[in-house]
Amino acid sequence: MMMLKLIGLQLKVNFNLSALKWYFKHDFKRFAGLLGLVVLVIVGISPIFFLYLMLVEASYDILLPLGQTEVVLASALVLASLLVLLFGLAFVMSVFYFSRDLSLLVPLPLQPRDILGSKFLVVLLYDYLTVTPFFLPALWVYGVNTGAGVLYWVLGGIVFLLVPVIPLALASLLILVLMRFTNLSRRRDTLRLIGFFLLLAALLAMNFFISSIPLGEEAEFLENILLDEDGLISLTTRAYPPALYAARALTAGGRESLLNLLSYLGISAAGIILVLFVGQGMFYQGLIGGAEIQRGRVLSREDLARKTAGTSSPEWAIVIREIKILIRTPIYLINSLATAALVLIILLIPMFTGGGQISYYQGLAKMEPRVVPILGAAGLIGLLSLFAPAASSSFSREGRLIWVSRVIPVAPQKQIRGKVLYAMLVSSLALPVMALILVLLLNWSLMDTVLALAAGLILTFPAVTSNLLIDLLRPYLAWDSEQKAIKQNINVLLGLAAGVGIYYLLFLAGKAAYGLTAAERPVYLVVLGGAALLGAVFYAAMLLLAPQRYRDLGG
Amino acid sequence: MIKINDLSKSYNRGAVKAVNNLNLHVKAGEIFGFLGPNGAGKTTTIKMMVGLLKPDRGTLMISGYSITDQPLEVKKRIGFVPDTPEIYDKLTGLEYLNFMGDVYGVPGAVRKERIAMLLDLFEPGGAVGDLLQSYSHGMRQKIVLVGAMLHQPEVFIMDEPMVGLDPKSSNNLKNYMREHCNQGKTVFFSTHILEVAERLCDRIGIIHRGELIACGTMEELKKLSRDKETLENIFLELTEK
Repeated sequence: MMMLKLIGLQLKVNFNLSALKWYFKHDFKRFAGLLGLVVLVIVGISPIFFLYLMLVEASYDILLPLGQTEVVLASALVLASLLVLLFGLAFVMSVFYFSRDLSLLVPLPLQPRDILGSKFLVVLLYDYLTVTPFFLPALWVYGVNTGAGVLYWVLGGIVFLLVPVIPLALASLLILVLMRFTNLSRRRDTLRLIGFFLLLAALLAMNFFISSIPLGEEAEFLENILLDEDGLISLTTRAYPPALYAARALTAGGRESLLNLLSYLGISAAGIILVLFVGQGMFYQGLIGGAEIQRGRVLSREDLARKTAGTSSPEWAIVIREIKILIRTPIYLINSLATAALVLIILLIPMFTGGGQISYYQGLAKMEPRVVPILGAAGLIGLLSLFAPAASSSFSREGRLIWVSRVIPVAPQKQIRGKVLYAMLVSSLALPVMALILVLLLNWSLMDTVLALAAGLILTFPAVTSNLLIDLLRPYLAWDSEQKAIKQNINVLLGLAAGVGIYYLLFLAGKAAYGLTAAERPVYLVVLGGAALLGAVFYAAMLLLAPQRYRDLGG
Repeated sequence: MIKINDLSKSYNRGAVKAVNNLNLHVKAGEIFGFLGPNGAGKTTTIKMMVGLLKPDRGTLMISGYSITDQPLEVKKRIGFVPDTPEIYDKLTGLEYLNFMGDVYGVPGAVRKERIAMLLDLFEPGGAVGDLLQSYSHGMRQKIVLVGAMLHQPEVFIMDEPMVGLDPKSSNNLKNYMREHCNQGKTVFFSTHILEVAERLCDRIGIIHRGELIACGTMEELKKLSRDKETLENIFLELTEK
């Protein structure tokens, strides 16, 4: 009963339901503005969604002659579930352990499982945003092409609701255990970060071993898959077995459909019960004392003098402040760096999974004209910067502390310069990783590698400045926990959509330049010149708007 | 030093007048206490003085510069302590002070001496090397005070600076305020502790429902009241009208 009350409270707080209701009644303009923003994000991301729909449609056509069209559903289920699991680790850690309302909830006469259950539901609801774009297109394509009846759509709705439950339960259990055992240590923050990345690596490695094709038996393996009616679907769902039940529930028909659905439902329910049961014992043990800080040693006069004698320029002081806060706030670090790292790893997985994919990648990387792979690699660097919301949440993350930036005697333009520099520095962390991939895995020449990295940095510029501009225009400052500033901030999505839009425009411009001249240099000129120009325009817009925005922010 | 003319600020599209036609001049070398009941308009006035809120009407000059037209010139000359010491949890006390030193352009050698002197004054002890998230409310308040004093501002503006300070630090702050003003600088602060205002301030202003209802020295304020005993009585009499 108590859990239901808490769920109501969490929904109101996390989805701003009370505020929306108030705006609807008293400030309809603002309500309409918020609604418009949601529509804008959906429209912004819809081209990617549409491309994915086309891909699913094409996959269906390929699978049709093999008689294995169910794989369309199975692979979408696996993909959505794995994304919920991998991204869920950071999300669960944020919401379960770093929400500011915990200091209010823990002293109340509530069971740990009540708090945990309400927070689990919050994350679950957010995860439907992850599941929707991956699962619904597949459900649609399969349903429409097979002329499915009402039962299919009803079952599809139930499966959709269940998709994130099991991976989220798994992520929750892993984080509960991690937080419980790292809470013993004095250096718990560092240990938790290491533990988090180890968990991520372990899950990815496990996934790789499960789904890789046995060496030396490739031909036989492929033959079995193609001959066996369920060969492909079994292979696809090996990476995430519960997806098999979900896929069969939708495709088997009759009694078997029902049995598979019941199995899927049963595993999902068991997952939730297990989380609540384990959480009852472990949640508080991982939480209480988690914010305690180890006292450092007392500074001597000499240490104090040494540490206070150095000076920096105001811009650099801002860069240092931003970097230190990013590194020392686990939620910011995990969401900024881990998300980008995860995207990189997901893109790289096919390189290691055998089956000729590495040679496919190598072929792609060696294709002519060279401008394509070089700008392709550069675009990937830019894309990674979009997945690290260092820029798109930069002003928002200041939250209530924005007063400091507004009262210090540093011109807003200088502060903007500091923020651009900081975001470019964070984005450039992708450069060494990319250099290693290009040189060691793809055997690129030093010249091509340097060119790709330099181009990557130029392409990062408009991504960073457009994202900062979006956050400057409408920063989300009224957050009450750090995870909201970065995870529940629509600017991060808007920034992603804007960045993808910019890259798509540059791609079209580059393609047109090659079509007209059949030479590589004009492509570089158009794409990189265009990126620099766009970046400069966004930067100039920020400089222009900054004095007024800094005067009005948060006031 | 501080010249406020016809200053007004309202909220909810004019429905709530937080500050209404405020006129106030604070001279150099003066400690000015700004008093008023909760919600009277003290914090709104202070926020307008430091550029955190935009006035609807009126002018606000500090050291000859307008906060609306030359905000950076004003900000260079003021030190500000807000009503709640909310600062960067993930910086150490020392990193915060170095950040303030950098943005106010305090040279390294001067900074070194001043930080050592101010830390001696407020004694946050060995805590300066620790993350601010481990500080108590009072310790944070001390670090915010030190950060605002680092560049020896011409005008020191504080919103409830004594809240959370231990008696010794509170006393040291009062002594520092007096020394600061003896050098020809100005202190403007709001407080609810009437005894402090009575003993420390050269002049006192009382704001009530957004309007300045009284302003002057203790002697001048006493003349406005029937009960001329204490500032508390004067305050209660004036604000309960």
